[in-house]
Amino acid sequence: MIRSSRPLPLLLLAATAALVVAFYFQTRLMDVDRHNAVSQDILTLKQLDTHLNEQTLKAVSLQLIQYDSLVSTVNRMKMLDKRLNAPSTGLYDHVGPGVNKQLKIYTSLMLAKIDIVESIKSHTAIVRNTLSYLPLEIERVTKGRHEPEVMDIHRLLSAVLQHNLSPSENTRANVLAIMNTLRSANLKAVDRAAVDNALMHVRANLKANEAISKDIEKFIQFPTIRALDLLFEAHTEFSTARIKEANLYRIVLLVLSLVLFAGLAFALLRLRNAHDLAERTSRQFRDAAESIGEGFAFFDAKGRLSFWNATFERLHQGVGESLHTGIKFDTFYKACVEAGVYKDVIMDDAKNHDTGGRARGHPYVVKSSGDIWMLASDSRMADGGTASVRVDISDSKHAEEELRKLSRAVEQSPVSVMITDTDGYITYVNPKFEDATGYAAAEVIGQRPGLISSGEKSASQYSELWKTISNGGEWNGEFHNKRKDGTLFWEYSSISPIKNERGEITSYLAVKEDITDRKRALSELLKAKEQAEQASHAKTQFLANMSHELRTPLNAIIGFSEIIQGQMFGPLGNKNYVDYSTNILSSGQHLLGVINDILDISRIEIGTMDLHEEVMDFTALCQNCLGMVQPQADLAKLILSAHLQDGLPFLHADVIRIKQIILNLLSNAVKFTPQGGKIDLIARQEDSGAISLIIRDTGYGIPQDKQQQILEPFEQVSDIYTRNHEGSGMGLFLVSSFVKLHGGSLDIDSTVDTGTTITITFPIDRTITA
Amino acid sequence: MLIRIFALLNAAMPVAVVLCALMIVHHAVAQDAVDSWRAGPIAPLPATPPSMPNTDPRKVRLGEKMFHDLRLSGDNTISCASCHNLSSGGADGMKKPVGIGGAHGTVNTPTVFNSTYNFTQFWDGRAESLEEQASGPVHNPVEMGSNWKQVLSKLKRDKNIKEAFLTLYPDGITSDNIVDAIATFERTLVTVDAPFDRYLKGDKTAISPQAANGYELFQSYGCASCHQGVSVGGNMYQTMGAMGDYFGDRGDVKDSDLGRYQVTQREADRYVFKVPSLRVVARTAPYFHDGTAQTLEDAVRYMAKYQLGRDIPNQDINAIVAFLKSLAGKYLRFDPQ
Repeated sequence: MIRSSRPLPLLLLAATAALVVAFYFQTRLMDVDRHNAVSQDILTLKQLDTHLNEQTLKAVSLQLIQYDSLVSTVNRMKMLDKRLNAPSTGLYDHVGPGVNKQLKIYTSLMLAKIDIVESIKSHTAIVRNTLSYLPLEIERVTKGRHEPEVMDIHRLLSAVLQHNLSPSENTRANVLAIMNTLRSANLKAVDRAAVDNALMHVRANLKANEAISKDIEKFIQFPTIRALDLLFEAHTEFSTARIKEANLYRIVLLVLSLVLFAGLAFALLRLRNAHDLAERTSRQFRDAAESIGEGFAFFDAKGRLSFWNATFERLHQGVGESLHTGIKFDTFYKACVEAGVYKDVIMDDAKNHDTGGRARGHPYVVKSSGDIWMLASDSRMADGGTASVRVDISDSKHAEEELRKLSRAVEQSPVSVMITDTDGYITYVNPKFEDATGYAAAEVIGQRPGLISSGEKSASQYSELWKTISNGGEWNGEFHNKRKDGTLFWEYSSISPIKNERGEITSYLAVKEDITDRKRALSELLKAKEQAEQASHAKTQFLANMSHELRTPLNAIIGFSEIIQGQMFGPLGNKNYVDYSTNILSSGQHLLGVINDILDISRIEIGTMDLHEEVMDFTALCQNCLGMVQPQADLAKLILSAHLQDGLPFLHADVIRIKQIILNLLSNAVKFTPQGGKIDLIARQEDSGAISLIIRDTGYGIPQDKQQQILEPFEQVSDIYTRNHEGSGMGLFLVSSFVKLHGGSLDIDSTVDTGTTITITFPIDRTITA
Repeated sequence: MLIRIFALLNAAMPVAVVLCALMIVHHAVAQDAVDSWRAGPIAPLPATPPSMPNTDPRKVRLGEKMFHDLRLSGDNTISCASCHNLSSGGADGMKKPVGIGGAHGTVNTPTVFNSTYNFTQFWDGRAESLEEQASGPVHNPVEMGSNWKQVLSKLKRDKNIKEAFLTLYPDGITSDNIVDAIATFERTLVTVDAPFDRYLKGDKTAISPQAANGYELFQSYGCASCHQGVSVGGNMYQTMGAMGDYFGDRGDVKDSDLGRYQVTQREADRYVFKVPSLRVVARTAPYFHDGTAQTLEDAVRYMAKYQLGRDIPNQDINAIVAFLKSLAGKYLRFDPQ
């Protein structure tokens, strides 16, 4: 834009400059100061000339007694004339040849006039002297004498005086006449000398006067004033012409100046716009450079750093002061290497192996200390400078690392990984797959997974699989697959679709685990389970049968031994037989209890123990159980006490099992508490609303490590103690089982040789408030 | 800004004029009693010549050096000071000077003192200024017998002179600059504070009554018609032998006796000479252009005879001589503080 119009303002400028120069030279001739000086000099000369006239006439009339002022006037005139004639400052050669001639004329007139003045000066002195002498002398000569000659002398004097006063031909003639008379007069010797002396003076006087008259005549005619006027006129004319010329030039110059001004203003405006644009562009570039996330730096054509943005600075923090304007590229690079900012430099190829290659703009990777990675390039710019770009690729590098980790995971995974595309063609398999199937990756890629299938799955199964996964779902299942060598193996596959960020399925991922061994183990386990179940079932059957088989004879034993002990049908005769029957009865009863417990345990174990729940009076039941155990406690010399909360709500539970719980716990307490001990039964409602049962004894306690064990069936803490306890070890198991069935909790708090506290808490929802 | 200054000046001008006028009048009035000499033919020499204030002392020093420099002569034996000796009244005390190689000069050496007040230089007034005069002797074959080319070549070899000239004159040593320096120096050769000047200024005891009488006679006889002004002469031309045939009586008329005729070639200027200044006349015997008057008394007598056509009695001559002797002032070497 500015380029195309550049010649025009320059042209204007050049033209105006040329004209200004020309104008200057033209107007230099119109030197105002010089003009003024010359005019002044001419005028002064006129004044001086007039003054000279005055003084000269004064001198002539004998009024000047000394000539210093006259001399000074003459000197000034000479000086001014000299000045006018000086080429550099005066009039000479300033106006033109005509004026020069005029000036010459004036000068010669002036000098001639001055010459006359000198002559007048000299002659005037003589006139004065003679005039002052003659009267004295004549007086001396004629003193007291009245001869006719003396009269002539007097007449001479007056004639001389008259002549001096107003010289004319007549007065002169008069004087001469008298002089003649006196010359030829007959005088005494003494008088003769004096008269001759006087006559000499008169002659001198006449001569001087004549000279003066001639001089004055010439003097007053000198046209010096006229000459000066002519000079002045010519000079003024000249100057006026020059002024007119100058004015013309001035007008032209003014016009040109305006044009130039306009042109310059225009050019300036354009320049400013261009500058603004450049500024803006530069600023935009700077802003852009500063705002982007990549590091930018520019090195000028001489390789010196001229610009860098904030990101660049941040990336090269470690190099500190080396990052300054003017530093050379190589110096900077070296500093970066030394500071660890360019700890490792990874060049792509041999092209980058030297500085030159680097400067050709091939990218290379740089690792900084502090785990920062940069993608770097240094490109040569058109103007010879270098543009360095540094991209922080730490994140992507870390992501790369992660990815590599993941890919390694996949590669080294103990499970087979197979990826297919959406059409079901295999795109990737991991080494484990290769191991598992015996196929190499190259052999399966591009194939369908059916390659390894054994063909056992039905088509419908496959289509169901496809439907699931193509709808975005995950399919898990087993495949019986075939190796390359034909051997079969089982795989558990989880197949899921892989979606992109838009949710579109891009491929399918199959993670397969070889479950051949597991499957085998599973089938064996299943078989074992079946057998166990069968065994258990058999056991239940057996128990059910046995319970009947066991109970029936026991009933007979108990019944009949009761009858015999009761001696219902008459006395037995021998006391021993009563004891024996009592023994038989109690043994039978005990056996029944054991059998019942065993049956309960079995049922519990099989899981067929059902609860018959009802709303029951817990308090009443506790009292009942206490009553039942009281005789035993008395026998064992134990204090049995009950703490039953008043107004205890009812419990929704199986009465029989609760009774069993209470009775078991109480009998255990009696069993394991030494004489003089105490047993407490506490039934209360907790703050939560749940009903809890606490049975506390001061017995032997249960060691910590055995507390869990004794809840197992058939376990007893008996190996520590010498006392042979009754019991089959089933009580606590039943208690805990029944509690569990009710959903409650059982807690054992026991210390050896101090006592045991068993706390049973029933669920809150079993509390039935009346 | 300029306009303001001009306006101010315009306003100030009439005030300034009035003030100046007042000052002049006051000065004149104040001086009236003292300046009685203004009515007379002789005025006291100013304490400093008019050119003094603008004089560069370095130029004066340089001019002095040049004035005394022998290299201005052909054989390096004669300087200006050889004939215009400052310790002998600015002249050489001889009838006619002796120049280069013993050459005989043509006219009696005029004094250099107070020559700044001469309206022209040389007896015949052929030089308008001191500058013009200085070249004369240099080129005169019977005086210094040299030329500027010769002198310049000699002077240019002198480093000090060269430097001195360069400091004062941009174009260094030139003939113009040399005469300028010499003339500048010569302008400082004034004799001030003469007893007679003091007398004029009002100190009636400055001169003897005889001298005072001599002054009166000087005037009444008419000497003062030509020997007038501050320099008691030096400001006009006059015919030698205005009232008598001096040359006829003396005889042996030479070219040097023709005076101004040699310059103008006019009959009227035959025997016309510049009236010399009588300021230092007491020290510059012998007198007249031909040096014929040995003593002041002689000079007075001859002057009276040939210029005034009078015969002056000895008593009057002595008085006049006494007066003439009182005219000489002191030469103070130019040394601005």
